Amino acid sequence: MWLIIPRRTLDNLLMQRLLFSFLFIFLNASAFALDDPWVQIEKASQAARQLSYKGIFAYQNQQEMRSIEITHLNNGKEEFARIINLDGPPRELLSSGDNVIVFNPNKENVRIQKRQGQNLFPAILPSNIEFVKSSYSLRLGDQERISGREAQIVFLDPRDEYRYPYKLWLDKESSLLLKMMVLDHNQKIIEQVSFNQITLFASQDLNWFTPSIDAHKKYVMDEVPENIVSKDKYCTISNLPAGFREVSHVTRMMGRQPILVHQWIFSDGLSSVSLFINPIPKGQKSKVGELQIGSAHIFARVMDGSQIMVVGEVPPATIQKISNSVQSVSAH
Amino acid sequence: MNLKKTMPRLNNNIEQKKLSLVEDRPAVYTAEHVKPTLSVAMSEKIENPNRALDQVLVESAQKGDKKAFGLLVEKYHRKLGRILTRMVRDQTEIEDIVQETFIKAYRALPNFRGDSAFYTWLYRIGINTAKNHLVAMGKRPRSMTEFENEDGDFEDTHQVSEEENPETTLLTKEIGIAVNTAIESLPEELKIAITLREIEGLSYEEIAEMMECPIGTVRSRIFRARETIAEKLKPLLSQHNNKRW
Amino acid sequence: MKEKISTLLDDELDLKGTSQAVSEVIKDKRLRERFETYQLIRDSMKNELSDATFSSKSIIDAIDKEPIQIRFNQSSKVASAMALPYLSWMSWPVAASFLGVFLIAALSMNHGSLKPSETFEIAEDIPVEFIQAHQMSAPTNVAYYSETDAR
Repeated sequence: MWLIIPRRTLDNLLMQRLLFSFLFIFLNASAFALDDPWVQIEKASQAARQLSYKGIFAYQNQQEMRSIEITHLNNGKEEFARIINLDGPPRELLSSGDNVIVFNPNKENVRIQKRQGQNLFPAILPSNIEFVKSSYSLRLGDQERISGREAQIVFLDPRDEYRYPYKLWLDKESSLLLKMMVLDHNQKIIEQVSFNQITLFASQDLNWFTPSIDAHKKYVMDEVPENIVSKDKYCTISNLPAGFREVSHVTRMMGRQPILVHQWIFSDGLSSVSLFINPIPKGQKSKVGELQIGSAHIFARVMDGSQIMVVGEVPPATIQKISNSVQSVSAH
Repeated sequence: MNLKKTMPRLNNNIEQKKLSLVEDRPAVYTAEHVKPTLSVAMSEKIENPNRALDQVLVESAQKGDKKAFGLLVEKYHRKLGRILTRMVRDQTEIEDIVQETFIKAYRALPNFRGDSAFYTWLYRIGINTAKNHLVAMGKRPRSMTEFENEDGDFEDTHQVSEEENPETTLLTKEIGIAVNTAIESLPEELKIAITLREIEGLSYEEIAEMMECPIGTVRSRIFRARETIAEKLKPLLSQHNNKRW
Repeated sequence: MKEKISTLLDDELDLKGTSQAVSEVIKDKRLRERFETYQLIRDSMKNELSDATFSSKSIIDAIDKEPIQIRFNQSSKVASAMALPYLSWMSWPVAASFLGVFLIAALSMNHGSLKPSETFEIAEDIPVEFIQAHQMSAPTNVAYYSETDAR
């Protein structure tokens, strides 16, 4: 049976349907997507540095869980942060710009140490995402509520077997990284960091930027020599796993003697791996084998009288390949 | 309409800056500081065109839109190049310096607060980049003070003489000729409108007053003039595009 | 719409109109080309053409390669209205001379549980020192917060 619809009404219906489908697309699209969803990662990377926020987050891996309180401020000129360990001994870290000082109290005294500037949660996303794009593909997930805020789930799926998948929760309003999970190839959680509470603030007041001082303890500077950037072509490294680039090469004094160790750091933008090479000191046993401590995999071998050790929170295959990438070690 | 407003405005800026340096004001802004800045900003808005457009482009770029920054590049890269040519004679280096300037400006964009005009800010970055470039090459920059005191609005006070014109290839010469020819052959009222706009830098309101016609007419005349010239440039530009890529 | 670009380039739209026009131009390649052509005409009339700056393509390409720059705090123009943080550094009960000296120490560490997959001949606290060295110097680190303690 034909339904006779006047032409005008048909046009109206058509218009309504078109309108409705446009609205539908618009509503869904405007929820989070821009032309390029990678922009969200870039925004998240910037947000952690440029915004001022205070909160408590929990870090956990297969072994343990820790609660950390963080206050971070950016006044347009410089970044300041105070990070306090809430479980166990009250260690705290203060940083301004690239200067990082850690206070480590024990029974008698408080040890003060300088650290290298590092990207710590939530500032763990790289600012140059072109690098990351080649190793991971991006996939948008649902939205979830994290510590009272609406967040967009973003998956960074590895393009090969040399890295682990990342699952990120980005705050819809500020793009700040609220929660992050690193999963292994069996979808088991290796590491997770998540804010339990967080507030953004605009105040420029820096009264919080001071360590809590225990007047009864002595404060002691820990003296350890600095790492020295090395330009020494100590060995030949080739055939690294795809996407991993050398980020730094330093020498440091390690071990009980101590001895000079060369350390390279390779990164794919998200995960990083350290390669340590040192001549084996007389009388010391060499180390061979593989091991896992917490979320870190370690692989050790010997070549040409040198100890090669690789450490990272990456799949064992990656550790192996980086270890094998050392072709020769020059006699020193 | 006082067409000479541009000069006092430039001086105003410099005067304001000098005051704050000399009197060593505290970093905290009190109401008395806010007021003069506001009125300078407001008069700039009226007298200095290209504030709304630049403001919108800068803010969009600061929200992550690189294409908005691209439009700023389109607007200013030649003007910047011409100014810097007076400092750095070597044409082959101008391209690099201009590019480096825009990259530096892009990197510093989050810190640009909009209390000066974007072009002024860009210009200063350009001057510094050119200076460093010259120093790195072991050359002494030409009469630096002349450039450092300027706000970048050269055309109000300087005339670019013939011999100062940078070298151009046949193509860019052709474009210049094509544009001039096109303008010459425009109907009188379109020619006047576009000339008053681009060469004299008058606002629509000022042009309407001078040509004794409604603003809407001015708008449409300028548009038609541009369209006509653009049509004449089409073959030249597509030839250029084919050549390049 | 094309006429709007002409008006836009002359900055004769109000703020709202400018915003709208800009978002349209950004999305539409042909509108952008028109913007560029009008700007070229302007530069030509003002004698600003030169071969070196004819095309903006290399600049645009370079910007595309840059990490995206985003400005979050759109508010206060006052950047320095607070006590310098360095003052609070110096009020610690530590001699000021130490502050200039940057030193490193190992965190107090203890073992995580070892799960050796093969027999592992190793002086027990050495791998932990390597883990620590890795965590302390890796460019980004989630695992920093884990307390692999030793000693």
